[in-house]
Amino acid sequence: MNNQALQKVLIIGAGHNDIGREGQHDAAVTQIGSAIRKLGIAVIFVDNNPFSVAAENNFADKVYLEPLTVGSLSKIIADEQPDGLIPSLGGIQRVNLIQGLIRNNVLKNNHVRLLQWDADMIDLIINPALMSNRLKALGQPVIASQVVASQAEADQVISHVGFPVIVKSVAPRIEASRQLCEDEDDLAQALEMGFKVSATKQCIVEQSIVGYKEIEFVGLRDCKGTALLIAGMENFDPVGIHSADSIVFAPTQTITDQEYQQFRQATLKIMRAMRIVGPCHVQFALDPVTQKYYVIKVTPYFDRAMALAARATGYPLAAISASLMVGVSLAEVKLPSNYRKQTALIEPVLDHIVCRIPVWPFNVLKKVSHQLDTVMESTGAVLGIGRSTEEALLKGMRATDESRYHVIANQPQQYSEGELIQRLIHPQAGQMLVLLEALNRGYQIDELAELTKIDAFYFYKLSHIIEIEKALRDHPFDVHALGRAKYFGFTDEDAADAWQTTPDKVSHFALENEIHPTFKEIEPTAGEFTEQTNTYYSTYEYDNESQPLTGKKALVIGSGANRIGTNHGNDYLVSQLLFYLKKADYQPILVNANPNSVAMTPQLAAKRYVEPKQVSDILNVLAIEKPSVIFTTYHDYHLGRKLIDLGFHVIQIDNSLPKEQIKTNDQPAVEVISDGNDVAIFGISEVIAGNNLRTGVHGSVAVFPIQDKAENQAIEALQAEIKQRVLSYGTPGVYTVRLTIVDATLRLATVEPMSLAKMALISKASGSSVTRLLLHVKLGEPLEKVMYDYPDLTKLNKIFVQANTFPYNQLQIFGDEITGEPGHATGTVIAHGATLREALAALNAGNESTDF
Amino acid sequence: MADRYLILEDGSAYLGEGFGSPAVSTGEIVFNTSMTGYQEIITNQIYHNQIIAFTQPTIGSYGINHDSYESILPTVKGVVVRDVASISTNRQRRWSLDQYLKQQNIPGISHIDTRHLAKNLRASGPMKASIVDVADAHAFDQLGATVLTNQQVAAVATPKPFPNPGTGLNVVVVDFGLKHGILRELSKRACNVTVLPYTATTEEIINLDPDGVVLSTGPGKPQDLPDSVLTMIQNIQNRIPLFAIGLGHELFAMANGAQIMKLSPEHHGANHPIREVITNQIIYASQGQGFAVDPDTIDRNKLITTFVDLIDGTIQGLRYRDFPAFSVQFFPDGAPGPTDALDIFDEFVESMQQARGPIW
Amino acid sequence: MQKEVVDSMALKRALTRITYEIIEQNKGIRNVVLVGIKTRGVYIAQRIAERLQQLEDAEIPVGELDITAFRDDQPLDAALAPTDYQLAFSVAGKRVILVDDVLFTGRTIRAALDALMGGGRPQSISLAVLVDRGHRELPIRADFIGKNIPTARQERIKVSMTEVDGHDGIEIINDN
Repeated sequence: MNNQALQKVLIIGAGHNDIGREGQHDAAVTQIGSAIRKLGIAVIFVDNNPFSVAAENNFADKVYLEPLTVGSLSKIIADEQPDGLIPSLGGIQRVNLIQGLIRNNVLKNNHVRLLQWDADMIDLIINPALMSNRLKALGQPVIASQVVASQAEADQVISHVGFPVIVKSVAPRIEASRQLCEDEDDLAQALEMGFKVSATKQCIVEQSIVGYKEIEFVGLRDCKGTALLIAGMENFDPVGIHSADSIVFAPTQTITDQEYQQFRQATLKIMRAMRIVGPCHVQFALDPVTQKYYVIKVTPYFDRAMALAARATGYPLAAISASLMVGVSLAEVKLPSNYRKQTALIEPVLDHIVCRIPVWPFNVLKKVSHQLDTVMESTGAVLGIGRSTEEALLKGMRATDESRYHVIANQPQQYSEGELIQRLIHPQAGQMLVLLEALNRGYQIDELAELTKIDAFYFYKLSHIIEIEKALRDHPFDVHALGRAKYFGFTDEDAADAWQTTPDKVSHFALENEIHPTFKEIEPTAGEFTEQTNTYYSTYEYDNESQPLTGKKALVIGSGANRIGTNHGNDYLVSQLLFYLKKADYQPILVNANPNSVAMTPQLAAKRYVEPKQVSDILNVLAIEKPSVIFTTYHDYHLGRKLIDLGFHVIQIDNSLPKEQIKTNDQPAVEVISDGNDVAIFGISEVIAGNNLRTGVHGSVAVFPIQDKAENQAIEALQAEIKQRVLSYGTPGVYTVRLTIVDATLRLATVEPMSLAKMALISKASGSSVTRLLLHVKLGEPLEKVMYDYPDLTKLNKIFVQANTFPYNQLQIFGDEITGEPGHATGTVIAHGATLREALAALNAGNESTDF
Repeated sequence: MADRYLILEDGSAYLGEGFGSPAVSTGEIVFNTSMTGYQEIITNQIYHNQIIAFTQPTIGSYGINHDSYESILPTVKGVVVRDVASISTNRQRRWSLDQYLKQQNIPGISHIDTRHLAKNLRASGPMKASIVDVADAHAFDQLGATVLTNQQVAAVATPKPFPNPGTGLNVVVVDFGLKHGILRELSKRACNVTVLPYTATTEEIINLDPDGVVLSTGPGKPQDLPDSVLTMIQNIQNRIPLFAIGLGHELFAMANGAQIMKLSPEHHGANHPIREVITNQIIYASQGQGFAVDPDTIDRNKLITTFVDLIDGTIQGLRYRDFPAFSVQFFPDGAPGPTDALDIFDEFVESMQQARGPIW
Repeated sequence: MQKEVVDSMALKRALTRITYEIIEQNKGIRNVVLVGIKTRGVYIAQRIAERLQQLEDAEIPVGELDITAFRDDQPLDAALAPTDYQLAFSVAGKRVILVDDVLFTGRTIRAALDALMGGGRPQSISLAVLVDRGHRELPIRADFIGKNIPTARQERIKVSMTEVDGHDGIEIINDN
């Protein structure tokens, strides 16, 4: 590598959130961007996600809200002349973009170095066949796969790999599926069908590894070749269920040291041979019978497994990666003083167990198949952290916000025997319930392990959970039963349910009997060294490590599980609240169990609790920290009400989705802020129909600001009325005042809290955060103080447009469930232009196949 | 399961649940941060007479495997964990950890706040501890009065020579309480091995006409061994390629004039970065050490420092300047732990080949 | 047909062992200079020098020799007269360690000795090679050998080094 010192690097963001992609990339950019800036290197950041936290608050020196296309990036590169490009922070789509930049000689002509990877890495990532050959050359076992044109050729493959195999048609003329073949008859049938529908009369025969254990390792390597393992993780569900849709445990729970070291060695060998700088995620399939393994996938760009590895271990992965990316070695990395000096070089070890549990969009999109298979369907995930497998699992299930009756056993389910077996063999979302039901009905552990291909270890743990709950149920107000239940992850609410009493009474009983929660730090050395990550989880043990922060404290309840429906916006709101609370001299404390959340970025909160959001969980944190104020956002309205009833000072921010169907509404609205005494106007917005963007768009497009002279004058005339209506609303906040045209004149229609999407849109358009204003008026500051330096938007000579993205294609949803309502959105895209036409063209650029 | 206590010399008592043997037992307690390989750790003879506390919270999750023993019989005094999975789920279907410890008469205790215990031991260093049924004054008196043996090597090393045949180079392993991993790695390299007791004389070794000699790992303090061991090393090292590991490394250093000091905090885990001085490369390896070579006492005209622990600067490897005799403090065979240092066995084999000269 | 007989790890190990052996046989590194024979011998010499520096914290001079003009089995190259002394330092009184990648017939080494002699009288000259493949035609042997690789005469040995070849390794190539 060229050793000339870097002065300016370009980071390409991940764009809008999607199924399987929530805030993890933006979280990485916020940390890596600011860490690189600290090294004295300028950071240029390009993204089109209005909810990007990295795109605000000085996490980069310069931010471009531009389309993520080769054309647009070429122009930015030509203008900025960065000397390095960080390729790993925008997911697979951005790798494709970088391939375009390389092919068009954009990097070469502008003397931009590709950081972290050799150029051929890009091709390996994009073309799995190339990667497979490369891995083979390194002596790594990969899944055998071959194109065949006859039964005889297929038989040849079988003689090498044996049954079962998967048969797929090459270039099928109809929607064709993968056929799992267990024997000759299956194979003959699958081939006949496959050849018939193939345009080339060919099939692919692939060795099947369905039912193997899926193991995920994350390693880290520097430019000098020093490499270490960050985390070894194990999927609860076997191969065949997408790992994003699978429960994952860190550390590995059921594999031996020999197996573990085999994966560690393979991971580091692959990283060294491919000369990857930074983190790399390698997925393996392990045959539980023979101990033989296969490399399934090598991912050297930032992904959910890396986010999990960082959160689970407390190892400052992003900050360290930032240094490695710009050529600093692991031995030279400088970390903040709360970490031990050599932390970058210490292989993380855990003394806690972390369980990541996916959440699905099926509560909203009810008609989608809930079957879990190789196609990713989850919208996000949560963490449960504890000191036992049981505790981690129960806390994780609780953090999914599912009713605990979905989690806890001894709740009979209405399946027939046949149905139950089918569900065991063909798992669906929320499978834990089915597993518990089967155990309750007396299925043997070995039998269940055989049916589900889930390691028997987990069934022992689930049986233990059932046993503990039964003991709790059988012994009302028994100290031992409660102590044990809490020790393994149950709550006051669970005990209250078992004892038919109230959580409050259980809580008193627990405290009287000295059953106290304790908090332990999530740090990467298992207590061997002193590391201060300021991140804690609860358990019930002897020693409490969390000392309350001093000073003015604000507790912010995080967004938790990322669900469908612009929930990603809520994480942006929480992150911004933390950021501006700190600026306002508060010590912000976050409670959140989402590993992919931007709010978890270490520099945002002064302290983090990775905890579920059940009332008793929150009360445990409050008992330690005693904050002067608690913030809840719109998900947690009920939780906020309960806390208010219990006497806490809670500020509820319930800006959420636009209330009504907005598809056809192209009437203007006035965006305002109020401190309860006065009202200020940001400007006028409009929602226009999606077909202005292109055909086939389900949702609508928000436009801001509208600089139409006549409209502005008309609104000027309505100002007094607007003010009055907003003030009658009472509480300080940001609002959208909808207008309607009656008899060719503008009239006021409704006033509603401004949506998160609108807050982000105005923030991005003005270059100044609306959340900051909202926070300060909520804290009771007068408008003139809050607004004194806010940019004058009437001077803005650009138009910003914003649209939601939907998962209809990904989830194969057709028909009347497609409505384009904000509640179905998974992401949002922003663009701008001198005219509306230009702005819409920019919004569409690079998003030609995006499900708007 | 019965309530039991883990009591420490400093007066602290931890309430837990017993598993394994119900015996009362006393030993020096150390904590190990390895993420995997509980069976290998429990059966490693370096932990003879010690109580091992695991920081990894779930121990026992796949039972006992027949290819994961590091000695024939474990001689630890106790196993301390947060959570024991008393099950055997592995394909080999041997015993659960609980059954195994019962058979071996070793008590275990679970439901211990092992994180707190580790932090406590980190601050105060290893100390005597007991696993008992009642944590009363009597139990603490007993603990205080117990004198732990310093004859650990004699207790665990083989009393008689035994072979581990192979078709390649002829290697003598001097056994101070060796880890099976050493034999496993020599076997992989086809070595024809004879294991001799630690009391082996120079003559007994030379008479076997070895291409190389290995000084094995083992428990305890190197100063507790007879001086005859040092004499043997001094006589062998300039005649036959020598490779010393763990306790063997400490003895090799002593034979060449260096002094051994107590290490605090001790190293028991597999995650420290270790720098190979000659290449400046960083590797990771399994460590289990309560002692270290005092760097100030090394005669630099005799010994070269070859490996250094980057956390606390402790010496992790030495080499004699004038002939192929070298040593490592860590366990290059892993089992459990990283495989980064496995090629030190290749280095040893190549040294032996080189000393024999070309084969044509 | 080609077969990798030494991988990158083993190659690094061989260099490490040679380095230790140089210290063993010279009782330290006082007066030691390394002279690499172009092309790969130079890189090997540099790597040995780096290793010596890591261990002994002393810089060891590394010279380069181009012996094409000196070989008795090659036509004379007019551009480089055999009488030119090629090293930037004098070898007078030094313990010279001549470094090459492969020791085969011994003719390269003989030529290298000729090329060295123009620079004064060294205290000693010894020879370090990464590979000794046998088939000597002159009474020359190496003092430090990375790897003895028995070969047939018609086979070739290819040493790859990251500096010139992008990776480390040794292969046997059989052209038949």
